[in-house]
Amino acid sequence: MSGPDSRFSKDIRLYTRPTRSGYMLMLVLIAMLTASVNYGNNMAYILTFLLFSLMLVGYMFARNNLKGLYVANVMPRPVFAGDRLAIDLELHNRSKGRRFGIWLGFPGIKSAEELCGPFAVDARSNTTVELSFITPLRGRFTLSHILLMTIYPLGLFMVKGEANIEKVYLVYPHPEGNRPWPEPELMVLENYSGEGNLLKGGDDFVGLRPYRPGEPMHHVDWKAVARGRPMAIKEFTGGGTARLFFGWHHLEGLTGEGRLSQLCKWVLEGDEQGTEFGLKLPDGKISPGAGSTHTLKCLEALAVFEFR
Amino acid sequence: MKFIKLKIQRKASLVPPLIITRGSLGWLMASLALAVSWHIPHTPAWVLLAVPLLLTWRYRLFVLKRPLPSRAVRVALTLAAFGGVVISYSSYLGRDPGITAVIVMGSLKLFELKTQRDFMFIIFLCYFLVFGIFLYDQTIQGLTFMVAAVIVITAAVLRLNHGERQPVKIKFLVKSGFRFFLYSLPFMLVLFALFPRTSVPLWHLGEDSGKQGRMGFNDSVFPGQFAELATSDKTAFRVDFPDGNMPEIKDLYFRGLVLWYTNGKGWFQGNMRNIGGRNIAAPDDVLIKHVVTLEPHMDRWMFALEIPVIIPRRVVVLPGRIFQSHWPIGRVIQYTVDSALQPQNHETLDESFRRLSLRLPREWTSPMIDLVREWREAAASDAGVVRAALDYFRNSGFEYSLSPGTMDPNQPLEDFLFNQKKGFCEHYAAAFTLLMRAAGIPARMVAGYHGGTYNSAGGFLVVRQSDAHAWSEVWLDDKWRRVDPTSVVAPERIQFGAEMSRTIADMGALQGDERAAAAERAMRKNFLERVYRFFKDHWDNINIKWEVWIMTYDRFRQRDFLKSIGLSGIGRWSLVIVLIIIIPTLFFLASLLLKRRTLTIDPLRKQYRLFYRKTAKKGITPAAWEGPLDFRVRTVDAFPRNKAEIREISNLYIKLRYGRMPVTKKSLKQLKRLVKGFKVKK
Repeated sequence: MSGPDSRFSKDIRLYTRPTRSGYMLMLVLIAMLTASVNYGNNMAYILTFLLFSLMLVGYMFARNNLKGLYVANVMPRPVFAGDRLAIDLELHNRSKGRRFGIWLGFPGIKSAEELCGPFAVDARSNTTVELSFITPLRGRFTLSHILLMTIYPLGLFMVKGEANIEKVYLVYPHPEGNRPWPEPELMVLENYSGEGNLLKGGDDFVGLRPYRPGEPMHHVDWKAVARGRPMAIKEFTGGGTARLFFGWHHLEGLTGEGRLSQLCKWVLEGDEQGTEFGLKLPDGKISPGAGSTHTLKCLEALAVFEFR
Repeated sequence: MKFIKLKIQRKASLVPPLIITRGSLGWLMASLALAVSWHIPHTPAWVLLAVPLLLTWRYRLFVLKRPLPSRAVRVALTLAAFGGVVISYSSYLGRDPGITAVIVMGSLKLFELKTQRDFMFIIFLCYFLVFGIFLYDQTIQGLTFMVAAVIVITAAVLRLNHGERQPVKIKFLVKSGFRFFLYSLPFMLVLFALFPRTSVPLWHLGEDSGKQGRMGFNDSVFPGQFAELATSDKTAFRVDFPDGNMPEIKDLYFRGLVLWYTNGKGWFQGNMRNIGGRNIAAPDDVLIKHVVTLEPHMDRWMFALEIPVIIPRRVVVLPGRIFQSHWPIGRVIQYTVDSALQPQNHETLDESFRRLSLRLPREWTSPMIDLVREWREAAASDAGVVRAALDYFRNSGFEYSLSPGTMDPNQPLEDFLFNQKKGFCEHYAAAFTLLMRAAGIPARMVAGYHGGTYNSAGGFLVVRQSDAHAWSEVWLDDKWRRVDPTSVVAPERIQFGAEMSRTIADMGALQGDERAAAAERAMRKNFLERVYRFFKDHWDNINIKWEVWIMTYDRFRQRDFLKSIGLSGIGRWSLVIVLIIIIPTLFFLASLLLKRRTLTIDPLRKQYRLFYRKTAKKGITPAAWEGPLDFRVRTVDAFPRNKAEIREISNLYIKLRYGRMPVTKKSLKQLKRLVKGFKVKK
């Protein structure tokens, strides 16, 4: 059954292992025990056993520090390759005990420096934290897990867990390049009669066609919409039209990723100037349009483009 | 579309970076300072000066955000410090230099704090210093200090791993540290009780024993030697009489040494071989069983009520019914002895020992010889000579004194006997024994303790160093008989014990009946003394229980304990197996107990869930994105007849969850009632 609880990650599976300090304490304890046995010193036995017991208790508390912690509302925002991907998430503590010294990271991190933290979560409350990392590659990725880690309380055991989040996020190509925009393409419509200026056209109303998301708003037949009809685009023609396409084929001499970076830059520039533009990639094209939805569509196409 | 599933690296060691804050550094330094503080008495002065300087310097560097000294400086400091330790002790081995080295190491390591491990390294050094306490001290005070130190050190570790950059409340840290201590207590107790004990050391390090902390007797007795002991309030040993048959004070003679050799000035034990004879009980002996808890004195003597007829195992039995440990006694030991008060034919005197007990100093000339000749001529038997000698002490103006002054070093006994006539027990015993030998009666000198203080709280006898005593034994009627010349000079010493005799001595020089009256008066203590006595008795009682159950808990006591919990006859390895079963079981139980804490569901959410479960049965389930407001609209649409109830429940939940309304027992109860009473009407 799905309820409001389903926004929480499932129970986290925990892995525990001693830290180097933990191993060090084991050696210390062996030395202390040997000395205690040798001198038959009961006080020494007491301290040795006390430290060993503390270690056991430390193990339990380290596990409890992560156990029953949930990750919720994970919100990745798309970024450009090379930028920091920031993920907002909530740590939910549904138990009575407070939790301290919780570190977060992305699975597969190599060094402790990449951990974010430490975070504390009060009893029966939640903390919003931001987790970020540099995205080297463009593409569509699935962030399957978030790594949670703690060595609190005693630093002798490290408890790690992966919170299953399964979030998809996009990394657009890194916008880069300084090539000029390509020339707009002249399009000759199929029913072009041959009269009039090909480029000057756009005055003659040809007809209506259904609206496709991302198309410029100023071509929408608003009167029809006001009458309760579905949104439609008024098509005009002067016999031909100039349409701007940012195309893969315009970028001879660049590497594949280089082309994508340049295209990405052009798309951003186009978006900024409010120009209508389209995108042509080897595996398809996006008709010219404008607006943020259109831009995002283009960027996504660039992000997930795969070389043959 | 790309799906990159990143795999977690389970093996990687990912200890978070060290966050040094004022708090974590402060706690670390406090732990170190606390651990060092116990060792102040046996740490060289330069270290005691250097540690606070180093700590202050390190803290200032942190506060001023200055860089730590370079590697070269650190190495130089370390070399200098360790050189200092070697010079101070001319050695690295042993207890004191070891502790000092750890102190120095910990203080210098503060300047090399880079990782969590460096921090923990200093923490472990602190633990070593706390461990070091027990090389010196095994008292309740030592243990109390240990517990306090462990709590503080744990708090320091908590502070570090807490990671908070803002200050963390001291109260919280100490409380948590204490909580961890409490949780670990059960494990510790089980391990302590069941960890198999051995009585044989793995190796023996004798380098420190015998040099320090020596208390009590030497293997010789010279006049004036007891003066130091006489004023010491330190406990020598405690005696329990499990059968409740404690003899009267006058019969409480605890022998420890028998001295056979004399040079005319003092008495020596000489080298004696282990002669065995553990059990020499005669059939008609009235045995007095007693358990002696002996404080460490760094020598091998063991004391027992005379005459010890059944001696514990694993000791060296020496001629004269005394026994010794194989090792210098460096920790509290406990043993059981059966003694007889009346001499029977326990000992024989063979020819070589007869000669030994008659031996006089070589080429000995002394006015004592003339004195003895008079007695010999007047008396008919050896017993008569003994009586004459005692009469001499009684009637010639001899005085019993703790501070008799120094005797002529060339002829101390003659000076005592003929000029000063003022002495402590060892003067009388030494002189008397020599007189007996001069008279041709086999005699030996015995040193030990006499009397003691009965502890009414614990029902045991405390024998202190001030109860040290010396007496003499002479061979009469084929028996070694005790003769205590002190008893004729200061009968109250023997009657009431050393403590009382001192009180009487404080009242001034008294004679005969006056002494008895004074003793009577001294017996009646005033109120304050009684209160003091009460607390002292109880404290002593706690101490002895401590010594019996904790300090001297060895293989044999462990066997007794196991027997009392129904595990008699269990072997060492079976015990290990028992531990291997018990500790994980305890661990499992404890984690169950602690787990409950985290499994509790938020009570508000629980009620809300109960509520939507009811609507879910009729097909209305909240979507994942749906808050209680949207859900309320939908449910009201679906169940218009429940409108009022749904609104009430939702509004209360929203107020409690998101609003200012506090979640109290009362408000929670109201929500509970509403949810319980909610019934979907179709």
